[in-house]
Amino acid sequence: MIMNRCCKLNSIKPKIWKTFCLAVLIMFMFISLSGCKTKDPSVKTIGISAPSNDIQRWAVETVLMRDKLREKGYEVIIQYASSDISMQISQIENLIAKDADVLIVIPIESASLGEAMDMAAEHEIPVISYDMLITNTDAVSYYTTFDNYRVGTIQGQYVKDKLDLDHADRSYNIEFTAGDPGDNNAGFFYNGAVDVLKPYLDSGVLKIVSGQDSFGKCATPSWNTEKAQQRAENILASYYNDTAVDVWVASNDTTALGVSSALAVSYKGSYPLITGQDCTLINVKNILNGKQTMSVFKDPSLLIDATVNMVDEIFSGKPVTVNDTKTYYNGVKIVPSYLCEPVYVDKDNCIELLTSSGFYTIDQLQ
Amino acid sequence: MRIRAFMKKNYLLIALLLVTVFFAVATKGKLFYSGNVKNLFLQNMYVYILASGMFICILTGGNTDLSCGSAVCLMGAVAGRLMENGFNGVTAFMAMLLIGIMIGIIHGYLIGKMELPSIIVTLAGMSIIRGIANLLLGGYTLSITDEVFLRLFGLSKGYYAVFLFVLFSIMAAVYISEFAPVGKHIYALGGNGEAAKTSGINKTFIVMFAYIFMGILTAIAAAVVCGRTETVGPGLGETYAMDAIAACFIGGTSVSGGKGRMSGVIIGALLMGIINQGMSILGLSVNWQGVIKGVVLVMAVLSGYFLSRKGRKQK
Amino acid sequence: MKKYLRLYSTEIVFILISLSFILLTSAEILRPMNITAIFLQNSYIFILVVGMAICMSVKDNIDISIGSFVCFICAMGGVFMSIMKINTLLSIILLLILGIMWGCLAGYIIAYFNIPAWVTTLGGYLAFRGLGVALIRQFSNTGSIVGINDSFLKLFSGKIFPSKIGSFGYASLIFCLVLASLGIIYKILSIRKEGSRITSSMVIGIAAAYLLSIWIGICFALTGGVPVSFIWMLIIVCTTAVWIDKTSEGRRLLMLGANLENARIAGVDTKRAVLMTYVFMSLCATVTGCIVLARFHASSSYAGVNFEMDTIAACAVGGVSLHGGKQKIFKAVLGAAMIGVINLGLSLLGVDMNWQWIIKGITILIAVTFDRYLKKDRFE
Repeated sequence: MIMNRCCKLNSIKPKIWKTFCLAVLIMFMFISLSGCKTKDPSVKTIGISAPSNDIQRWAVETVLMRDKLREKGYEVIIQYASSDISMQISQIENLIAKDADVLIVIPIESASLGEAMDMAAEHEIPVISYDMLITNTDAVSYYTTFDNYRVGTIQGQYVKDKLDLDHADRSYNIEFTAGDPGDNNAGFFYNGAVDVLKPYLDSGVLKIVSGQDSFGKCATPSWNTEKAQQRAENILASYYNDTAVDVWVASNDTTALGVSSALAVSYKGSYPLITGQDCTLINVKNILNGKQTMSVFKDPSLLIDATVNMVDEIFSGKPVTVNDTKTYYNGVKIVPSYLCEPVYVDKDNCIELLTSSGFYTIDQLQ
Repeated sequence: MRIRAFMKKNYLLIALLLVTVFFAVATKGKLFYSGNVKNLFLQNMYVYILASGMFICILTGGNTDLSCGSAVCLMGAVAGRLMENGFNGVTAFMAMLLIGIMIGIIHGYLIGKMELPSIIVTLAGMSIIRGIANLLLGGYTLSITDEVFLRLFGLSKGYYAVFLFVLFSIMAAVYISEFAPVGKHIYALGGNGEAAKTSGINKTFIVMFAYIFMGILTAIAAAVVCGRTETVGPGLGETYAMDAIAACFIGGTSVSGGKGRMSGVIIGALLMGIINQGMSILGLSVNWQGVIKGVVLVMAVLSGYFLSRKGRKQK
Repeated sequence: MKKYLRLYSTEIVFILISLSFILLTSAEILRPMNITAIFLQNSYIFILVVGMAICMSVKDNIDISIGSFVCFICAMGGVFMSIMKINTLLSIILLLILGIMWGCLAGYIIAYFNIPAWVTTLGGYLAFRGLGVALIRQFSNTGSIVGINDSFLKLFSGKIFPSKIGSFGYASLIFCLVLASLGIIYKILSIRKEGSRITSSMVIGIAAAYLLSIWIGICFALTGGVPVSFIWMLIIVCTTAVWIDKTSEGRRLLMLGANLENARIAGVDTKRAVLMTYVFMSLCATVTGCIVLARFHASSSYAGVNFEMDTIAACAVGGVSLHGGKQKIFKAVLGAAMIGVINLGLSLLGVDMNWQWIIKGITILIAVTFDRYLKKDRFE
């Protein structure tokens, strides 16, 4: 109503405004469709897509990878997706738009990169799947990883060896804490450990007092330390008032941290053997002071070297080094893979192993 | 009829009783083990503290603070970094309080004076604060080792001062809502904003007060949580805001403000805590826990509506 | 002066933001691939924002459950197509029914029980994500359900008139021109019907529309075809705009926005109208869910994360609450485009994710404050 009255007086203003908008539009169009700067074909660009900057592991490894690639003369662009799959798909598409020649992708979730992978295939860009296998697509060219199932196996094997379960003279009480129920790898870690220990669980040498014996019951949303602590506290208070817990298999270090915090608060019995994974700094310190027993070390430099090597070989046309062409079926095809060996780390070998590989400095471990 | 009136008046206590009995039976009595009872309190300390603050905010007219969870993470990160660099625990706590007050002032101003919707403001706040917190942490989990801090807020050093802080928060909220003059203004503002304004109540001041109080309590909650877990990591506080809000509404606080009592809030927090713990002891899959929380929340709010209607005959 | 600020605030801000990013990225953001990316990556915001604009037109109404509901729809879609092997058409119908059911439930509670919108949809926010994740975990042990029907994927993702990279897809360009022509013919006809003349400023508007469609058409032609999600976006935006303007229900809906009490006194069934806004919002969320499911090629527990934030930001930045009628939809779309440009620009600049969180939050605050500042004088 107010507009009508003023409209007659100011009927010119809307026209001026619209003309202005039109001019701006023409200018944008012109810039857009004219001189697209062509890329220098001799410079190879590597696009790295990582889940997030918040997780210590990715923050450290992507930077190491970038530095190694730059040493070899490649241009590198890294994108972090803040654990948002929509964002990761968009970021991969943007990396392709920025003329990446090879993509190294650490998927947030294996099966959900749909359209991004389609676009990579359309543009005939090789995709190296790093650490987690991209599934549900044939656009993946290679896979480099530490065997995730093997991580769980190492944990189970450590428990078996340390307690000498084959010659056990009594039964041991054991609890499990698994990872995020929505995380593809969490299942592998859990199953790897359980499969090694299954014969002892079945025969009664190992006993899960709380009865929480399936992945769903042991899962920790978002690998959250506090939630792991709460669950552990509830189990300790309900089932371990007069008994001791001897082993606690935690799938990774953030959950192991929750378990050790729970034990510190309310548990008075003999301290259990606690497993972990990733050698997160705070957990390594716990291993040194006895609050955690072991972790699994996945020396990133091994994986990074293998991946960088692969990139070199792709560009030089040499056959790509892989050591497994049978195991990793991603739902559509078998992906040629290079597997690195994880190793366990405990009080005896952790300082040596972690400092010699350059993962931590001596000062960091004080 | 007398029984109906009794049930209506005490429906919250009855619900609490029913839920407790249900889980006690389902867990074969484990719910009552001393360790679990202790945990019920310890694991939910932050809920009691945050819900006390949230209660005052909601009373002013349905205003919330969705950013309190992220704020806990930020305060923890700041305190952790400060203590890492040699500052003592008391200084760190002062810093936390300062941040809480600053956040409270900003929220109070935007929501009270500029009258922006609290959901949007605190949603944006949540985003900003979480970003800053993550930048400070840089993906690392910090460990808290400062003696003074742990003595004040932790449980592993043999001191129990942390309980005083929890008690203080709850008592402060009780005092404000039941006894202080400002409390009456808060109820008035929430009940009928227009009438309150005409009778001279300064809306800006009341809302600011509520949010600054919330900010202080958030700082206390952050200190308590960091003291208990002795760590600060990314992802701290993700669900805290929802837990506090749920406790308030289950406790019978009116969603548009002006009605509700702290006694209800405490019972509401207790109820949520028992449900959470019961489900955890039973080993219920974590996904269903989220569903149940949502359903319980909506049912609680709906029953609050129905119960307040029963008194008057309406269309 | 302030009047024009209010009228054109959205466009002014849009131009400012675009110019800033063009400068910051040295015009890289204008590359055809990136223009396409704005639509490809943000189609979900465009659709959701239309629904939210309608929903938020009534005071204090909001829907924060949309992200979680999208996750739930993705999960159910996976269950229907992959586990229960239901065909595509039936699955889509079932999903739409689910959307209508939630919209009715939420709308009923909000309109008839007077429970504030944010609390009700908060319940949805909590429950639906949990349900979605629980369903996925139930039927798959890899964290996502795969095996979505090919026809579904083709219907909601991918490209129409696909062309090989490096070649020019003339079909895409012609298609865009045809669409633009249809829209303009419709507009001219409806103006003629009302009896007004065609003014010179309208001619400028038509020229701008054609130029825009040529530009976008060329971008699509250079990058492999017209994205299917773009078509969906167009369908929903245009249908809503037309419906709001031309039908009586649409006009009644707008009366609500202006003043609920007056509308009720004037005989409008406000409760039913509010219910319908939630059904509409929910349907928008359902279509978005289908698009996300097709984009991922799988049901994922991470679907729909942050959608609420982006949508509310788009509405705030678009100044949606300031405008009425068809303008509302136009402003909402501009707001969504702005968020799209911001998302893409920050991504191209390689800005740390956490800074993006901070920038988005501050943008919302500034937008809403500015909004309120403009509104305050209007009614005083």
